[in-house]
Amino acid sequence: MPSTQDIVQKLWNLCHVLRDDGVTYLQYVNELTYLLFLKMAKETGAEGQLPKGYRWGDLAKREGVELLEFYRLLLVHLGSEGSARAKDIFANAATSFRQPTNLHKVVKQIDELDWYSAKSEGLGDLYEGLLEKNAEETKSGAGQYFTPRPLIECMVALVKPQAGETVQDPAVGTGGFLINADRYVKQATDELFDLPEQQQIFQRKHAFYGMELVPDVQRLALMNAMLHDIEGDILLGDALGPSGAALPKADVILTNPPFGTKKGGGGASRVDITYSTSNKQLVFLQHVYRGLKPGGRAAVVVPDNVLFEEGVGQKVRADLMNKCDLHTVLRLPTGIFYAQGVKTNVLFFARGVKDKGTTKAVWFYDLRTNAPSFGKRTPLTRAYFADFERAFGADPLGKSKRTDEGETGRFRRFSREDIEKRGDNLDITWLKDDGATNHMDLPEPDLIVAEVVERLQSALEEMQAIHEELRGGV
Amino acid sequence: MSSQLPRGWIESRLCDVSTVVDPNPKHRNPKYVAEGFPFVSTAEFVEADGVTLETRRRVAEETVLEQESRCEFSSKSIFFSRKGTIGKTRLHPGGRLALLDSLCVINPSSALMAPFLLQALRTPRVAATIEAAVRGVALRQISVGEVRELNVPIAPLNEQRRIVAKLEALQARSRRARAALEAVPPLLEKLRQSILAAAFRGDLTKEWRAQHPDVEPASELLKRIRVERRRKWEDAELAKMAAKGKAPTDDRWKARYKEPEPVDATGLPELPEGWCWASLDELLAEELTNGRSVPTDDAGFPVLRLTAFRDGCVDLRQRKGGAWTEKDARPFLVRQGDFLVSRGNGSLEFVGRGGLVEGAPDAVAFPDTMIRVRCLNFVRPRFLALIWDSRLVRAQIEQKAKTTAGIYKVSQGDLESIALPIPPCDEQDRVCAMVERLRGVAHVKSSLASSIEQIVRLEAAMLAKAFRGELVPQDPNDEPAEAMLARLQGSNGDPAAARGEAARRAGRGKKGVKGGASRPAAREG
Repeated sequence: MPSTQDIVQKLWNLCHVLRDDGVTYLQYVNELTYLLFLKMAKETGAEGQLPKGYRWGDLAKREGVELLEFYRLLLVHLGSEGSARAKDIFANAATSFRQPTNLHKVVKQIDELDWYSAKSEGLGDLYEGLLEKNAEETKSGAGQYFTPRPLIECMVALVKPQAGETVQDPAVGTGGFLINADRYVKQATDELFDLPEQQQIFQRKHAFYGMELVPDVQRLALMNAMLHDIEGDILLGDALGPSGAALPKADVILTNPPFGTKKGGGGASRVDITYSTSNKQLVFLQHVYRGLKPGGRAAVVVPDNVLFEEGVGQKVRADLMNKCDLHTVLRLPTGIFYAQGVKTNVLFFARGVKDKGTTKAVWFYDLRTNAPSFGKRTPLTRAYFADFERAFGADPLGKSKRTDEGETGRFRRFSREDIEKRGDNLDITWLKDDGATNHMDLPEPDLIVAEVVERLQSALEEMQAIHEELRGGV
Repeated sequence: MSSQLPRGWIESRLCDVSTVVDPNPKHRNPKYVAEGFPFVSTAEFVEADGVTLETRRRVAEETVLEQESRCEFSSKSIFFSRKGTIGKTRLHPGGRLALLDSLCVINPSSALMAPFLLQALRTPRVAATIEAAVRGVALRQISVGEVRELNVPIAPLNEQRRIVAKLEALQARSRRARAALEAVPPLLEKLRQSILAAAFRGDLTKEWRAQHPDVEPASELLKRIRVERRRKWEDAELAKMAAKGKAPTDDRWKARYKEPEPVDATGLPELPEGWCWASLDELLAEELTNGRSVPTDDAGFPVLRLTAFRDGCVDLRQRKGGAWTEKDARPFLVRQGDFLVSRGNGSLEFVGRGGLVEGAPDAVAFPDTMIRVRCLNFVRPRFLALIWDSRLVRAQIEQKAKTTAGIYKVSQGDLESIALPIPPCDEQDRVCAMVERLRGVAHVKSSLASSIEQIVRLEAAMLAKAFRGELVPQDPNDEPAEAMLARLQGSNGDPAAARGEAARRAGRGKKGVKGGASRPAAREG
């Protein structure tokens, strides 16, 4: 009987064979989603949620062309028949397998899996690994829903979710933040065994929850969560709409809202959000700080325009600093996300008890100036955040003793008055760009082109805004 | 010359709605100290309306106190440059400082919002008035009195607020747009280099190589190059002997051939399969040749100028006549496919740059400021021109260049030892073709420059529109400017305007005072 490790390794290796056959990483991940769901239902005695005749056994016993045809049928059928969870998984499901032999290979491997050991021995990692490979390859499409794991690990390690706390991600994507927060709690509690049973159940079923707008992505998040034993709600919905308003308040919110200011979409706006704007990140930010319980804490990835946009942007920032202690802003290097060239930051804040004057000072860490060019040849690693994590300190509320590193350092403190004098503009930098690039250090051409595109687009957006404002004039 | 002001606006002299103060009437430079207070001049005016307090010169507190008592600085104070660069304005940035006497201080009365006055002083009309009043040639300047006489438009106070809010929002956006665009040209240069680097890693031709897997190993390629180089030398030697009417009797003359130095590839980046490192010397079809120095003679045989180098090509039209005959110039004629390299330049980043002779030239020679490079058929001239600009090659050239009396020079020996990455010929063509496709970059550059110009024009247009009263709606309920001014001056409620001006007129009596105690409070617009 081959070991779980071997099987997982084989499933991993299969992805290359399939790629040569025209099946992308993303398509493979989707196929695994469907198949693993069926297998998991069998192994956990949960086949009642699937109609008879459309279960794992029915699939595994077939071969050749018959297998492929039945599989296609099954995918369509389960999209409309079956439990709510099954429907979530199989909605609009279709297969990219063209060769029955490839499908058979995958089915056979999964069939031999010992489910319980597989889960603890890397099935979850396999899944995450494939998601990561997909994001590296295609910087668009599903790749945009993948936040680099080193960044997630850093944010979770600083925010320190505890057993018993609820953790929300209103833009859950493929589930990275929730999975990582869960792993953090498990590591601190000996895989939950340190906790009394009630609490273990709480952790599994209620602690981690989120919302995702795109069905194809929600499916990936669901399976990712299931493979990591997380059964909290991962709802399909628009966090910027009424469904988002209905999400329960959380102790911790960790999220990376999607970038871009595409007009249209978004459904009904929320009445509980004070400052309505077409800038979706500003609306997300309001959702986050309003969605925190008093004393709750959050870490949110936002693009630069959230820091400097005037008008509504300034109002939202002032509101945030009134209601919350915005203690730390991390300026991230470019080139770490799918949309190369987008400039991003992480805001760390905690909900205060008052509604005014909560933020007294903001600490800025500049990890962007003179940063290396990340990409395939220079991958981002956790080590890159080490100095930042040290400077941040051990207190998840940002209250550890910190030292202002001065004008040549990367970590500096700005008082609320300093920021108010700048019109509440948080786009603060002080380091000089030394502009040095030798030929070894150059990023790939397509990354540079993406950065050029991003500059041109932001110039275009400003011009379009000016156009609007001039037209709306006299 | 006066155009229609918007309803409710009025035009007024600056002295009637503000005080204008010379911070340093004695015009003697103050004492500079090592550690003291910021000393501000136009040099400290930074982009986006700021003033940096990291000034080169600093002054003692007594200087600051003196200026403070004279100028009555406040957050509404405007600095106006009236000497040297004229008409530059900034709001007081806060903190304690002193000013160079090229700046004067404008303190607006309560009739004017300082940010509004700041914008008004930048309108084309006011700028034109300023320009007309400028005196001096070596040191341009405008007197404090002239500044006081400037006519400025004044809107109802509420409208001033609306205009300032809207203008500042629009200007912030246009500034950001401009900054974004200005960030692009350096990125484009980086892109060019990155493409070349990608070419050397074989990334550009990865798919092509996958489709053409039977590639000759690099060692074989090098062997063939060496054989060819030797053969060419032998042919050239035989031709030379034939020209003298001699013929070789044995093979001893062949021993005169000097094998080129191969490249030591340790430390050099790894090349894709089938590529080899070769020194320029190994690739030469004939020896490198310097040009000949000839004095200019318009009637003489044409020789290229150094300005002929443009974008990696040689512009054959850039030429002058040299004092030599066609016979003298014959060994120095340029041929299609020749690569010319600049031997010397005052700047390290331009020495050793090259240009390709692309078209079929007429009879023209290259000058002594250039070295002519002719390579074996194993190197496509286009490919050589392409990689000559890469960081890889530039780094080698700049490292070898020697400087005497401020001029950087490269010798033939320097060039011969340059290591070049050489792929098989077909792949060279492929790399050139791929890079050629990315020529669109040049279009981006030029349309960027015109977009930036457009934004500058836009900013001027928005300003003009604001001061035509067309940027924000007018409110008929706003107190008209004339009434506001009358109210403020009549009730003597404006200490800054009333007291300040009277003090100036009564006090100094030197420059710029035109006598007469009372002036009309406001003029019809």
